[in-house]
Formats: sequence, structure tokens, C-alpha cells
Amino acid sequence: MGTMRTVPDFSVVRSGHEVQIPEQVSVPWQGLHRAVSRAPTIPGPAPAGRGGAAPRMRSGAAAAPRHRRGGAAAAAPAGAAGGGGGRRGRKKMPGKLKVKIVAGRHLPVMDRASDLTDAFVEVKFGNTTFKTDVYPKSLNPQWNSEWFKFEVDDEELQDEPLQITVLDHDTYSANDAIGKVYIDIDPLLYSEAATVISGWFPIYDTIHGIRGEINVVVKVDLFNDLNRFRQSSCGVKFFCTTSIPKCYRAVVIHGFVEELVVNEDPEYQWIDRIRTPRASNEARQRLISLMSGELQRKIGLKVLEMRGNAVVGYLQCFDLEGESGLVVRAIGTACTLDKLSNTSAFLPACNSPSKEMKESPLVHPPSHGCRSTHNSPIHTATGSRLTQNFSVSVPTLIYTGMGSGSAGKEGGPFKTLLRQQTQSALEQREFPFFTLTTFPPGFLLHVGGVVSARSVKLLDRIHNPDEPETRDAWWAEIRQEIKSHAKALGCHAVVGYSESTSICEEVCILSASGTAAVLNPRFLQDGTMEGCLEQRIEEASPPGCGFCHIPYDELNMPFPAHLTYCYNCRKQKVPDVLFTTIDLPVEAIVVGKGCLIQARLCRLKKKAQAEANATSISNLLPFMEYEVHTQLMNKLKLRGMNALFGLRIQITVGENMLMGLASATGVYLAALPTPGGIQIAGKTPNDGTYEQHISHMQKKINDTIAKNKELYEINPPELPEEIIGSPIPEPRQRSRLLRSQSESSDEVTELDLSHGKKDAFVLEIDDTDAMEDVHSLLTDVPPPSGFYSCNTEIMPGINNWTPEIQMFTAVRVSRLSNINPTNQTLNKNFNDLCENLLKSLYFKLRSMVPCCLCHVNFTVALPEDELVQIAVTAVAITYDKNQALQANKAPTEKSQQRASTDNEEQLQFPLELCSDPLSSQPFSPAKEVLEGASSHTGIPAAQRDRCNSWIELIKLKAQTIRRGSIKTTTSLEKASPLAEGYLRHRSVPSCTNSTVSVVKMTPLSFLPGAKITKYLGIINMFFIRETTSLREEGGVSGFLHAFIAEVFAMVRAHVAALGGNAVVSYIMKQCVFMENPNKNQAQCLINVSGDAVIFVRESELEMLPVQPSAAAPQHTSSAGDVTT
Amino acid sequence: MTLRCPLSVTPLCPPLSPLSPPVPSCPLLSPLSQGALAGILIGLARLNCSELRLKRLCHRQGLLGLGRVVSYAVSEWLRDIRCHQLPGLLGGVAPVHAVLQLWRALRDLLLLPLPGGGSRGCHPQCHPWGVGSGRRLGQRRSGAVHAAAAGAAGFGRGPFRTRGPPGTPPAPAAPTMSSDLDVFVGNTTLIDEEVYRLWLDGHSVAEAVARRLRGGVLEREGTSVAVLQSDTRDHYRTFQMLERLLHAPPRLLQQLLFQIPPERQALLIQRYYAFDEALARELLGKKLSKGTKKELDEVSARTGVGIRSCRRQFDNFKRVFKAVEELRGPLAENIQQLFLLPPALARDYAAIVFFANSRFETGKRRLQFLSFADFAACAQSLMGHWSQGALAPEAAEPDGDLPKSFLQDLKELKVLVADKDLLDQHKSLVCSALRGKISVHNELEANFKALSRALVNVGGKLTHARDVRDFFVDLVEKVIEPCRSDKWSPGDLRLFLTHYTAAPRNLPGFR
Repeated sequence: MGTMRTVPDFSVVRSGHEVQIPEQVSVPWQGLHRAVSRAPTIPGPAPAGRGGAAPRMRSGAAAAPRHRRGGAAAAAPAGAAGGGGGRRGRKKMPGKLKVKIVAGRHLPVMDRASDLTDAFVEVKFGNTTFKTDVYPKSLNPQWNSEWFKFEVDDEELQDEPLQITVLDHDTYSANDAIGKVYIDIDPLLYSEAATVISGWFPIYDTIHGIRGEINVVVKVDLFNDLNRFRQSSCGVKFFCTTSIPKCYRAVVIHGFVEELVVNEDPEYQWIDRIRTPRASNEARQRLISLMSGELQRKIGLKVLEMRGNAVVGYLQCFDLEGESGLVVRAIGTACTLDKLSNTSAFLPACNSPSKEMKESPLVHPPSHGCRSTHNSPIHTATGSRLTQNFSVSVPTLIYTGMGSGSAGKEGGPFKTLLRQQTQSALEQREFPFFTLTTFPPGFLLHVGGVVSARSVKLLDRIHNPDEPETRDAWWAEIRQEIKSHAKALGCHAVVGYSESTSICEEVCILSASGTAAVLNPRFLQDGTMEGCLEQRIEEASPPGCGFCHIPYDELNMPFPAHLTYCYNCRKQKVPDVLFTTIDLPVEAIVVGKGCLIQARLCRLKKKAQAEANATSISNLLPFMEYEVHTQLMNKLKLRGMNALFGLRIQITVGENMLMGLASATGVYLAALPTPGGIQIAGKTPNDGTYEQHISHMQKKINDTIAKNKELYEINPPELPEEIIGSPIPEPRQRSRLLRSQSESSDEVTELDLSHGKKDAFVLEIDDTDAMEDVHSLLTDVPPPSGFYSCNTEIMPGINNWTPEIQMFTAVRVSRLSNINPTNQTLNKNFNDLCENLLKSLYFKLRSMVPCCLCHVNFTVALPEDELVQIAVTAVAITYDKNQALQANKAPTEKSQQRASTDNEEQLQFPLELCSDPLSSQPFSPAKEVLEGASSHTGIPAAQRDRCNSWIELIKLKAQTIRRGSIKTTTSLEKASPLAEGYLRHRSVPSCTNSTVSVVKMTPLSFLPGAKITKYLGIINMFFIRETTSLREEGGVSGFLHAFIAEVFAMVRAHVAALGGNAVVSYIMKQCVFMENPNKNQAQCLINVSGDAVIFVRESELEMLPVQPSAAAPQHTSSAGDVTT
Repeated sequence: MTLRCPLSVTPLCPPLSPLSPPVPSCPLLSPLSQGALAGILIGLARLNCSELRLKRLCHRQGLLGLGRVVSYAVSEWLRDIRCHQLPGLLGGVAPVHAVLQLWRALRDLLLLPLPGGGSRGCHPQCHPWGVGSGRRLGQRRSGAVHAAAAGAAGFGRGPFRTRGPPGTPPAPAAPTMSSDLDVFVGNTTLIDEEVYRLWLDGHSVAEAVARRLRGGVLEREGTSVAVLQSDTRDHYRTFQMLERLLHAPPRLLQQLLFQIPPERQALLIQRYYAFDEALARELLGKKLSKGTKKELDEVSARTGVGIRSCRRQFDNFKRVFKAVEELRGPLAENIQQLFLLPPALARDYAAIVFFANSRFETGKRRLQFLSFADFAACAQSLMGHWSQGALAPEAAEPDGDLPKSFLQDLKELKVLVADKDLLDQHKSLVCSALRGKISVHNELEANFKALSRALVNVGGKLTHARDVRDFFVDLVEKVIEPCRSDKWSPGDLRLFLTHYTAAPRNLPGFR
């Protein structure tokens, strides 16, 4: 624990924001009083800890206000986060969990004789169980139970899920279970999220799927002196989103947190032989639920140690290692976040400087209270120099570079200076990694390239679940490697970092990848974090190209690369291609549109055991990396683009093959040089027909490039050819890119690939295999017109989204049935599989045209010999075609436009703030939803009209029928004042619309055309489904179709119960499917996660015209005044 | 609404202005309202002395209904004769030629107010596919041919062809690279209307794919057959999962498994419960039992509706029947509430339930000319005027049955024909009122007694369940056919009935 230094720091920051300090101090005490008065019988140990914890109380006080400032309920469940590390003995009773079982509906018939069910409910938390009365003979029981109260300690609160089991009472035999509901109560543990969970939950059974629904209300009363309890990390917020959540502001980005928990897999315990599949599945589900709770708590503790209050980009994965156990691991980025909305005091502080600055850049901001006098010296110095209030050394560096007119060299000392600085910020960190893929403006300075590392391990039984050292060591090793790669690229940090595993039998491939980058130290250090100044940075740095500039030293480059001067600013060097794992930075200048690029690769491998197997795999890996990379490069050139974003290379191991699938979004960055074409060279130039063939091929390739350029509207503005200092390589230099023996490089994918010359990217065809590779290069069919696809959050080149979205998951399992499979046939099959899958997605979504498939996420698995499973999750978003065309017709104005969107970006927060009141509503949301949906579904207007009259009727009828059911909207009653505005909207549609509230899901971190007003907590669910009547359930497809639909339904139900109306950053992290057709059995495991949010349509907000003019800031600031 | 025939006698039917489709009563009935039938009753009441006051009220409404039913049956019959009966029934008989001419004229005249040139325009919502059964048959055949051709073309070999009923899972297909598993699940459930229709029509996946191919999706979207197959299978799976919910539509609105926008839900329900009128006509009045279900093969062959579709529709009828059988209150409203159907469709279902409950005989050759819509309109009239709800809303009996006491009371109308004086008075009143207004005045004078007796007898007999069943047969046999042989025009008959029911008002004892 880094001592109490933070406390003054915080107060410094806070002091800028007026008011709040007295409140900060008082609240915890107040809360304590309340807690005491509510539960006068606090057990003995409670007061004991207080005296000793006094300093901790202070740190608690420093941390707490951040939650409180979020506005919501300054009352009881305040997430007064504990201060530091140190373990302590268990203390009972920091909180009380209350559960009420209201009713059930649509229960299955459990008694064949009467066609009815005598249902009752068991509510279990920890070791305590309550039961409701039996509600006899009904499929729609109304239990309306009392409040079941669990007195629990905080550790339990975080770890345990609430287990609700619905059973059928049998007088003579054992009671039959109908199904279960697991409720993660974590969202109730911090004040800004939900305060109550209430709604209809599907009753889930691992054998039968969803069997009816149950209405449950859950509340938690936390006693406020939680900070005495060291085990817990209540109050730390978790976000799956890999960017700073929309309604928060990053004060400090602390860095990498990771944790790992291991256990034995119940499925492989001896007892599994004698218990029913249902019992096994439930044991497994429960265990995983427990483990992920524990994991989250431990991560939370680490975050608190780092003095953060949130984890962003939280990625939790399960490794089902079979015999050797079950590993749950998670990584994330610890941050200190500040809630943006409904902090009225914050408004003028943050906004008026920006406004004033627009008017007169010389105004010194400290007068506005935001700037404290505690700024670092660098800051003040540069501030005066640049006549701007704030800047760090990096922009300065660039400015000097500009002034001197020469490249890099002068930059040298500055660079080292910068490096020293940031290094100091990062050096105490073991791993300077960030799971974020999108950053606050100005955070990302330079991008080096993709760094990745893999390692093949043999699994052995985990002997002691409490000591997961082996696994920890494995990962630590890989992370070290990544770190050193990043260093080699002259970078001190890795962003867009992710980890994954692929397991087959006892072999496990651990992979980690990220993008080496140089970051702005401002966000990393506690002292210099000056929140609301992010925007200013671009003004200092050349807009939109800074991140492309090489971070490494030109003279001793880590690898041979081809550098040119930046095509945008002409001052710094850039590489000719750029690969990254992050999202396209908003400020980047892009020409044309992006597109999804995939490299697919299959390699046969001999079946082998243990170490031999591991050895052969690790021998294959470098080749695969290399080929995947080559393919990516070729495809990128073929599309006339020069950068890849969101690169994700997945290597999957199977019994007898390895598969590699790389997905990325290709774009043309204006700052990077135009990619040259691809030139094919034959090996035997004397053969006439061969030559002809080659030229034919060449023509085809050239055509494709031309077509692609047209398709993606890549027509970079012609620049005066004055490329300074770019070493012109001799024209005939060739790089054998296909079929080349691999160099030993296995990790830094940037290696030795960019040394080809710019204009002629030569493919040498030396055998038939290579020929086929060239063919396969051309097989990628462009998406049908009206469709675009990408695997990043935002499609480069499209920015006029309409609010309609459709998230989907598609799974395909194919048998590669070749008797004598060769690499080529396998490749082809695999390629076809992917292409067909994409094609069928386009076909399915044809009614949404024009639209873009965003965040296309392919996952490959090899469940058995010859079986390939591909799962895709993506979202289709419609966009306004007309605007898109307009925007693209003027590519020269692109930069200008981009700047304007940047402006908009800057204004995002202010706009959000002033739109808080949500008072007047021009549109009825119900109507809009209806309209939107029907226009999407393509019902002719006439028909719609005809339907409408009686739809209303149906609704009314439905309402009368539904009498007695509890409205889920009650869950919103206690939402923050902000949500109240929303509540009004929500209740409107809920009475006119269908009875089930609509929950949107998206893998993106935002919803087009909507503002996220509140994050309700993380959704992290794990389900197992099994069947012993596969044929009856419609075969494997029927089974999985139903299961995925059920998973969606359960996610939606949980979100709705939290009071949310959308899930963002949704991801299906795992989908393990196993079948045994002979036994008519199948089993599937699915793990999904996301962030539950409340969003409000922009059209419903009192929306200002988003003019990227100087008027906008004024407007917002005046609006801010109003809210103050 | 074009005038098909210059013969039109527009002044006859001023109130016949085309009404909007879902209006319950047929426009043809409007001139017959109130007065006329009240008259009969009043006449009757007088005969029965004044103690019948309470009863009279019942009578009035009841008879009103009867009158309506009769006149409606007549007019509908005339109308429909054009469509179905004419060639078959009359065409073959040489002497009837003249009659045929007349009917044609009349039919055209009667067609006037009906939208859509006489095809059951009252229920456009029940025709999701908008094609007559004949056309559909043709379609099916050509579809089959096409499917066969497609199969021959090579994409639909083996397992692909021998697909089970829509209820069964799609078997693995795709000859080249076998896709064992292929699913697509959207957060908002995708529903393709075309595929839904194919599924409802009972096509197998293979047939559906063939049809979609024929529709030119491939060319439009530039995709492949495999994609189409996978897409179709996905939709079929979704529909199969939805089917369970569609059996109880309110559950579809409440369920959490599929996120479907409300108007899509409405569409799903509406389409699922829409039925082929030809099929409904066949099943009208039959007991909705297993036995009937077994006969569906024949029905399918006769109507040209696919057997699977037949079964589904039959099951729908049965489900609705079972659900509302015991419920009190108006049938149509109950159905609408329980199945969330659009009003017009709910009314049709009410008619089906009503017929199935009362087991009216509709299958007789004599009645073949009546379409489902005709019967549905009759059923609505009957329910509207004779049902428990209409007569005594507080009664505990369900609406589907005709109230016994009322039928008993109808018997007392026999005075009208049994009492000579009364009969003569009645006749003179009617005849004088109609003099010069109808073309068949002479026939009326000659046959008044017979007509009146027939009408009263039909009503009077209804106490026996058997006779209730034969209600329509009797009406046609006893009333409509004599009129037809006398070459009454529908207008004539309507006028006659108006006055026939109005006249008793002036008879002694009816006041």
C-alpha cells in the first residue's frame, strides 16, 4: 500500500470543485449512525476495529465522496470502500440481504395427474436457506412471501450468488426441482449502481432450459463502516467496456490488475460418477459463480491498494482444464473514475475554461478554479510557452521538432526525457499494461506495433487450489516477454492488452497480445492528473497523426522497417504499415472506409502425447504466426490500405491440427504512405503458359485492388511528391513473402515484414501451394452493397449511425471430412467456412441495409477431430446512407470534418450534462420504438396501420390478463434523480407497449443515437445446458439455438431487473459445445459478460443541435449555469 | 366498387353503401332492421294476450334475429350462387336456363355493396396470402414441380429432400462440407415474413428453399443456396420454438425468450391464427374431435390446403373452442381476449365455435353453395340476437349455446299460422303493404300461407337438438328454394320479410 499520500492529493483535486468537502467528511459518520440505529445489535468486534482504523477511515473518506458525488442515494448502501491491504479476521454483519419471492408464472406441469404444480421456493445465500410456503395446484403461484433476511459478511456478499430454487412439493417422494435462478448481488454493493433488483427472472434448469419465470425482489442494506473489513472490496466498480465509460471521467489510470483462482472441476471429481448430470452441472455453475465472485473481490482489493475505484476493461475468462482443474482468471485496468453527470459544481469548472480558451487562448485557467496551484513545474512552464494553459512535455517535443524542421534527431533527447518521465510513472509497476482499447484524448502518444507472446504448456493437476502459483508463474512469464517486446519497440507501455488460452487435452497454449505504445504520463501519476483538460492535448500535437509517429529511435530500430515522413504533418517519421490491437483513435485521420480483414490458416499436426505434442505445437507456432501475418499483410495491400486496428490473432489447438484466425479492421491512415500494389513473380520465367498464367493472375490482383479502392472509397488526396529522406529502395528488391522459411521470429509480428519496398510488394510463386495461396487471397468476397464490416467499435469512415441495432450470435460447427487432409484442403475448407458464415450473416441482415457489422468477433474452437466450431458475435448498426455519401464525396474536406467531429467529441460531456434535465420530450418513445422497429422489419405501412388499431387493443387485453403480476418498473423507484427522468419514459412504454421491457444488447461500448446515463453493474454469467434427448430437441442446432436464446433471455432479464435497458460491451467469451449423437446427448457451456446500463435516446433528450461551432461551448456553459 | 350490371336497382338499397369490412352485420341486412320484425312479434303478442309482456321482449329480439337470418341467408345465397353454384347447380338443367339468367342479373345487383367484387371482402385480414383456393392449388402444383426440378438440378439430394414435417428438426444437409450445427440467434428475433408464410403453409425446409429460390432471392441478394438453406432452417427452428407460445398468445407477450417488437408479435399471432375459408367451411358444424382430424386428409385434397396447414388450422379451431367453451360473455370478445386476435378474425372464430357447439348441419349438398363468410355472418346474427348474452346477459350459460327457454317461446309463434283469422289478417296487411312494390306480388299472394307456415315452423321446431342442427337445411329447403322457384328477387324477399315482421304489430293481440 502506497501510504496515505493520496489523501492530500485527493483533497487538492477536490478543492477545485468547490463545495463538497464538508459533505465528504460527514457522510461516513452519518452513515455509521444510521447503520447503528437500524441494527442496534452490532456484534462485539464491530466497534473494536474502529480506533485502529482511524487513518483508514480518512482514506475511506477520501474515496467515498467519489461515489457519493455520483449523486445517487447518499444514503445507506454507500460504497465506502476500504482503504488498504492487510488481511483481517472475518467479521459478521456488515450488511443485510433481503429477498422477497413474489410470484411465479408459466411454471411447467410437474404433476401429470392434475396437470398442475405445487410449487415452493428455496432461497439460499451462503449457508442459510429460507423456504416459502407451498402454493398448491397452480402454474402461476403467488407466494408473496415475507422478506427473507440474511445477515452476512461482506466477503460473502461479494463472493456468493443468491440462489433461488423453485421446487415442486411432493408428499411422498422427494421434491422435484423445477429450476434455479442465480442472482449476482454485486451491483447492489456500490451506491451508484442499482439499489434494488426486482423483476421476472427465467427459472433455469440445466437439463430442461427455461421453465417459467419467477418474480423476485432483492435488496441489500450495507452498514457504512465497511472499510473495517479488509476482505471485501465493496464499492469498486467493474466495467467490461474497454474505454473510459461514457458518463465517467478518468482521473487517474493506474494500470494493470490481474488475478487468478483455481479449483477442481466438479465435473471431474469422483463424486461425479454417482450423481446426476443435473447435480454436476449445478455444482459447476455454482462453483464458477463463487470463483468469479471471489476473483472480482480480489481484483477489487488490488484496485483499492492502487487507490483506484474502478476496473475498466475487465476481462474474465474460464479455462476448463479438464482433469487438471478449473481456472478463472481476470485482467483489467485499474482507474480512478469520476462521475460526470449530475455534478453541477463540476460543470463550470470544467467547461468554462474550454470555452474561454476558444475565445482567447491566453486566458490562464487557474482563475476558473479548476487549475490548482499544485501543478507540476513542467506544466506551468510549457503552459506559458505555448500560450495554452496546459500541456505536457510531449506536445512540446513535437513543436520543437516542427520548429527545427528536421526530423527525429533533435527529438532524441526529448524522447529520452519523456521516456524517463513516463518510465518513472510506470517503473514501479510490474506490468505497464492496459486492457483499454480506446483512450481519453491525449493519452496515447505513439504506437509502436503489435506485441504478442505465446507459450505452450502441459497441464498437470492442480494440487492445491489455494496456491495457484504455477498458473500465475506461467502468465507472469508471458507478460514479462510482452513487456520486453514493448521495450524493444521503444515503448514503455502496452495497450489493448488481452490474454487467452486454447486447451486441448493436456496441452494448453497461453497467448497474450497488445500494442506497444508510449503514453502520456499525465494520466498515470497521481499528482498530475488534471482531469478536465484532456481535450487540449490535440491542439498541441498534430491532429490525427501523432500516434502513428514511431516511438523508437530511427537509428537503432528494433527491426528493419521502412520509414517515411508523416504524410500528414511531414515532420515525423512513420512506418509504412501499422498493426495495432486497439481501436482507431477518434482523432485519427482516415481516408475512405475500413473493412474487416481476416487471415485464416490451418496446419496439420501429428497426433502425439504429452511432451512430444507440446514440442510439435511450439515448433509449428512460429510458422503459423508468420503466415498469418503474411496473409494479413497481403490482404491489407489488396484492399489498398495501410493500417490494421483491433487485430486479434487466435491460435487454436486441436487433436490433429492447429488453426489460426486473425481478424482486424483495415483502414487507410492519411498519415501513412500509400501502400504499393502486389506484384507476382514466377519462379520459372521461361515457361510460356506459366508466364501467361502469372500475368493473368497479376491482372486479377490489380483489378481487385482497383475495385477495393473504389469500394472503400480510398482516394487519398494527391500530395506533392516531395518525400524527404525516404530511402528509395532498389526497385527489384524482392521479399519472398509466401512460402518463405520462417525466421526465428515468433512474437513481434512487425518483424522483418515491412522491409519490402513500397511500390512493389512481390509475391513469389515457387510452387503450386503458393499458387493456391494467391488464389485464396482473391477468394475473399467483398460484402454485398450496403454492408460494411469491421471488428472495431467504430467503423472508420462512417459516423452517421441511426439508432437501430441488432446484436446476434451465430455458431457453426463443420466437419472437415477429408480422408487425407492436406494443409491446402484444410485451409480452403476453413476459408470457405468463414466466408460462408459471413455471407449468411449478410443475407440474414439484408433488411437492415445500409448497415455495418461492427465488432465482428470470431472465435474458433476445435472440439473434436475434424470438427471446427466458429462462433461469431457482432452487432449490425444501420446508418444514414445519404449523409454517408455526402461525407465521402468530399474526402478533401475530410480532415476538416474530422476536426469537427473531434469538437463534437469534446463536447460530449458538456452536452450530456446540460441534457440532464430531460424535461421536455418531443417524441413518445413507445411510438418511436414501434416505428423504428416496424420500419426495420419491413412491414408495409398499410399493413402496419391496419394492425395498429388492434395492437392497442391487444395491449389492453394483455394488461387485463396480466393483472396481479408485479410491474418491474418498481425497481427504478430508487434510482438516481437522473434516472428518474428516464423512469418516466420507461413507464410510458411499459404500459402501452408489450409487457416485457426491451433490453438492447451490443458488443460496443455505446449505443448509437443514445446517451448512457448510468452504469448499473457488470453482468457476468455462466451457464451449462445439457440434454439427454438431443433428437427430440431438434438436433444439435435446435439445442444450441434454444440455449443461446435462453442465455440472451437471462441476460436481458437480469438487466431489466436492475432497472437497465441495455447491455453494452457484451461478449460471449466462451461457448463450449460437446455432443454425443450416439447417446443422444449434448452439453454446452456459455460464458457471457457485459455492462448493464440505462440509456436515454438522444431524441428524447432535450437535444441541442450539435453544431461544431464556437457557439456550442457557449451554449453548454450557459446550460451548465442553469443546472447550477 | 364498380357496377357490374346496368340492371342495378339502386333505389332499392340506399343504405347499402359499402361499409367498412369489419362491421359485424352484413350491409344487406340494414333495411330489415327493427320495425319489421317487431311487427311480427307485436302481432304475436296480441294473440297471446297481454300477460306475455316480458316474454314479448324476448320474442321481439328473437324474431328479429330469425328474420334477419332468413333474409340474410337468402341474399347471401343469391350472391354466392354466382360464384359457386350457378354452373354446377343450374347449368346442367336445361329448363332452368331462364332462371339462370335471372339469377345472374340478381346476383350482379346484389354484388353492389360488396367490396372487392364479391370475394369475401369482409375479411381481408383473414387472407394473409390473398389468393383464392383455386389459385393456391395451382401454386402448389407448380411449386411442387419446381421443387422437383430443383431437386433434379442437384442441390436438394438425399436428406434434403426427405425432410420431415415442419415440426421436426432439419436434418443435416449441405452435400459438400457438412455443417453439423448452424445457428443464428439475434437479440431481437428476426422474423422473415416470407418464410413464416411458407412454414405456416406446411412446407418442409426443402420446399421452402425451393420456393424462395423461385422467388428470386438468389439473384436479388447474390447469395448461395447453402446460405438460403441455413437461413430457412434457422427461421423454421425459431418458428418451432415460437409455436408453443403461439398456442397461448398472451404468453407470447409475456415470455422472455424471444425479444420481438410488439407489432411483430401481433403479426405472428394474426398469421398463425388466420385460416383458409375453404377449410373452415368444410369443418363448419363438425365436431372438432380426433375423428374429424383423421378426415383432414380428404379435406386437404378437396380444398387444396396442405395437410400440415390443415392440421394446424384444425388444432387452432379446437384450441380456441376448448378455451372459450365454458366461458361466459360474448364469444368473440372472449376469443379476442384469450388469443389476442384482431376483431374480425375473432368474430370468425366465434362463428366457428358457435357452429361447432350447436353442430349445425352445413355439409348437405343443398347448402354447398353457402360460403364460410355467409355462415359466419349468419352465426353472428344468431349470436347477436339469439344468444344468451344478447337475450339475458346475466344468465350463467356460456354464449355458444342457444338458450332453451327462448327456443321454447318461439313455439308460440305458431299462432300466426294456426289461427285462420290471424293468418288472413297478417296476409292482407303484408300484401297490401307490398302491392306494387315487388315483382312477384301474385306469387306472394298465392303462397303467403305456405311461406308463413314454413318460416314459423322452422322457428318453432328449434326446441329439438336435431332440428337445430337442420336449421339451415330447413331454411333453404322450406323457404329459400320455394322462393327461388318463384323467381323472387332478393329485394323482393327482403321487402316481404320486412313487412312480414312489421305487420303483426297491427294484429290484434300483438300489441
